[in-house]
Amino acid sequence: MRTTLSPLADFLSSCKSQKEVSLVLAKDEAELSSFQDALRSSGLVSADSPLQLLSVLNSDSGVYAVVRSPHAKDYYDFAVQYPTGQIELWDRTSMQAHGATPSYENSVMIFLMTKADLLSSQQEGRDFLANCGLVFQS
Amino acid sequence: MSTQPDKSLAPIEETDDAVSYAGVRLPKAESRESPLVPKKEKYAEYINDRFSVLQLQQKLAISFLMGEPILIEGGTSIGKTTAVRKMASELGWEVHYVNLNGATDVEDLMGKYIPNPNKRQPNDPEYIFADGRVTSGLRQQKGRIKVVILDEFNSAAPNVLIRLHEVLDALERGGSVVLSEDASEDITTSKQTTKVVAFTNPPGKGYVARPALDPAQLRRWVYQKLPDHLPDAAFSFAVDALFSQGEAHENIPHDNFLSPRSEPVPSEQFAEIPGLDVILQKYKEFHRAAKGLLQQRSIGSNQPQPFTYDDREEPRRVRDFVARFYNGDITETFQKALRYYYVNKLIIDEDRAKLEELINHVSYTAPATPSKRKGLDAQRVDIDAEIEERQQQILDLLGEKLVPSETKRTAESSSEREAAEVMGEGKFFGSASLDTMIPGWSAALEKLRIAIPPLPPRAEMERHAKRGDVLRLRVSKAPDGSDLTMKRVNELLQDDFKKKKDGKVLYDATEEWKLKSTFFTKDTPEVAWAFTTDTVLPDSTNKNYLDQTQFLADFLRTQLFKGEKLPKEYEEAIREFESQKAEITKLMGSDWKEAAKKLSALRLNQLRAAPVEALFDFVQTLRGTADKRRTLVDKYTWTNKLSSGGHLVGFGFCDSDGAGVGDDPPDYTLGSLGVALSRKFP
Repeated sequence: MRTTLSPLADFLSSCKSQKEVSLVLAKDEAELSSFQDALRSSGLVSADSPLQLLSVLNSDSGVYAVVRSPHAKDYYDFAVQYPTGQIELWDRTSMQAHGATPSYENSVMIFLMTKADLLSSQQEGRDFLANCGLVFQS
Repeated sequence: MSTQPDKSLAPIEETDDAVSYAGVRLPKAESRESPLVPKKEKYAEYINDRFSVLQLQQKLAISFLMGEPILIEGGTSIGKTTAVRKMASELGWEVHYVNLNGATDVEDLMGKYIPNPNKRQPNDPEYIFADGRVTSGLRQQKGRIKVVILDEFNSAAPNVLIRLHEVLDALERGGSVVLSEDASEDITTSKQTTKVVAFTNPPGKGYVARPALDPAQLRRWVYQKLPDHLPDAAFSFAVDALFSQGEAHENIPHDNFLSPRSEPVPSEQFAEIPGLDVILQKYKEFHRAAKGLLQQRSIGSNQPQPFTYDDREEPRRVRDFVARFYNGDITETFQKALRYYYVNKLIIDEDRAKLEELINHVSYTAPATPSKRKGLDAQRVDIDAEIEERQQQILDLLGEKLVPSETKRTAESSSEREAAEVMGEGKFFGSASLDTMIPGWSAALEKLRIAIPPLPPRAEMERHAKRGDVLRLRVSKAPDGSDLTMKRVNELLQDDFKKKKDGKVLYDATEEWKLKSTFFTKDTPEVAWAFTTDTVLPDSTNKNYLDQTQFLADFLRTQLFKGEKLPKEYEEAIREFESQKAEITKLMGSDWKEAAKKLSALRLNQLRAAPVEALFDFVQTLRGTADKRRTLVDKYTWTNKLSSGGHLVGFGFCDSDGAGVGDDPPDYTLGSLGVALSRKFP
């Protein structure tokens, strides 16, 4: 698996100031891993959970999160709400809502997922493609 | 009692304590400091175009003011959630957002006991009750107003819907919602401080796993249908505004404004409203007529989400609307109420126009000053006469409208025109195509009492259009009322074929085995829409009938519904086939006639046309296309009918020598014998 940085870097520059979450689709786990490396080396901050995403939402260097099935619903809720000017996610442990306001100016918000995860989310009724803006795949 | 709108009002007007949305004034919350109140500056660039103001914000404002839960169906990109959040930011209202897609845990919504995070003393409780996402929106807090958004409502699990309906019922009566099983926790609700809005994407229409809601569930909601996409005008206005080529706020004609009264008209003062008795008579007629049109599918036929005009809810809502918005003109107020609660459930302009036509009759004209020679009784007679006249006008109108749309004299409705656009050129044969086969056929349907069924859902049309399939309407009777058998088709059209140099209809219509077979002399096409292929499906030839049936099962799974869950009817059809396959295989060797009988009856094989339907399709395509396209020009399709000898009938090779008809036992195979698709609706 060989992923050149440049097309992804081009894509990242297009993602700046978007009012929707941008989506990077990997063919498989190996490509996902290489995309992660590329995003990290581009300076993007990684969020390990949907709630953590809220805390780093407006990071100057941009944010990415790997969408995995245990949290896919929360990431989907995030993507649906991102363009509406306010995001509210629910912490099931503390039973509390956590809200955040996205600042679109110079922001980069990337969701990274494999095509297999995209398909399984679609089959469960969560259409990331319809609720994300720009999409990148190699 | 008059409160006329001020002509100087802006579409959105804000004061210190309220915001008006096209005239509908909502109070700001007294307490606006909360992380759940959207930040106003985030909506500085919001474009108040006509669509956003009238179709979203004003509708939402009316429902918020009236304390009615509103359910808006519309596409993802029209800005439903953003409109609510923008309004909440202006009003200082909290937003409690729940996306019901994949939410199956009722406790997340309604609350649960959790370990007490503040336990300090031994006597402190181990567990405390924590609100869920919905109950936090129901909880009344001084000075706060909350909006609960239930997004993707039609994706909710049944157990979730049940609990949400309890919430709506509690809100409606101002009662309590019981939160815990032992009833030790409850919340007193108030529709003054909690507003509920639900959004759904159109069922089907490319939205995965979006089933239609049960119409009975819609009763609790003020259901409003919005477009799937931003209307062109709104889109164009927004683009101009975004590039500073135009204003960010569109001028809205003030006759679209509403002006609520500070207090609703008390019910005991209804009797003082001039003309109310006349209007109510007409409203009753209107309601019955609107219901009739809906039941007859003369309106709303293309909307995948079924709904009703409820006999109890709609009149109550109209009454509340009139009480809240009466401005001294009962006709105007009533008509606006009917537009809000009846017309707004429809999306197609033609459908809306039909109701508008009826609404025009719900009017009251104050009688002229009576002649001195007339007493009160005479004045009463005038009003009664007017009621009678108006009722007759409405009934006259219904007399035309209640005739099923398919029996109308117009050969092609706007729904059919839209279907033709979806399917593409040369791929749609609707009611007008009948006239290309036999002039005057579509007009004759009325007297033949043939009801054209509603068109298939748009999502299905799009599915088949992508494959290049055809959508066609078949009917069962000839214009003269005779049954449209194969024999009759041949009789009716043979001369016309000769005259137009189209060759023959059938290669041979005189063979005895055909004349003895019901498929030739008795069977008629089923009145239905059908998605068909012009020729056999690729890879379906060189297979015996059993293998072709297996092919159909695989076709459904791997091609037509690839990557999707199969519709229940097809799952069942495949299960039926699989349960009989071994027995039929055995019968093919021992009793082929019994095998043929069983195969022809399988539900899966109803995806094949009957011979008469295949003949109908051939003639319809030939006559309905400029280039005289022929179906099955070099192939046979194996139909689902038996000949008098028990063989399975094949049909095809529709060249100028006439369409061929043959029959073979089920184990027969041929390189030119395959399966053409015929998927019928309903």
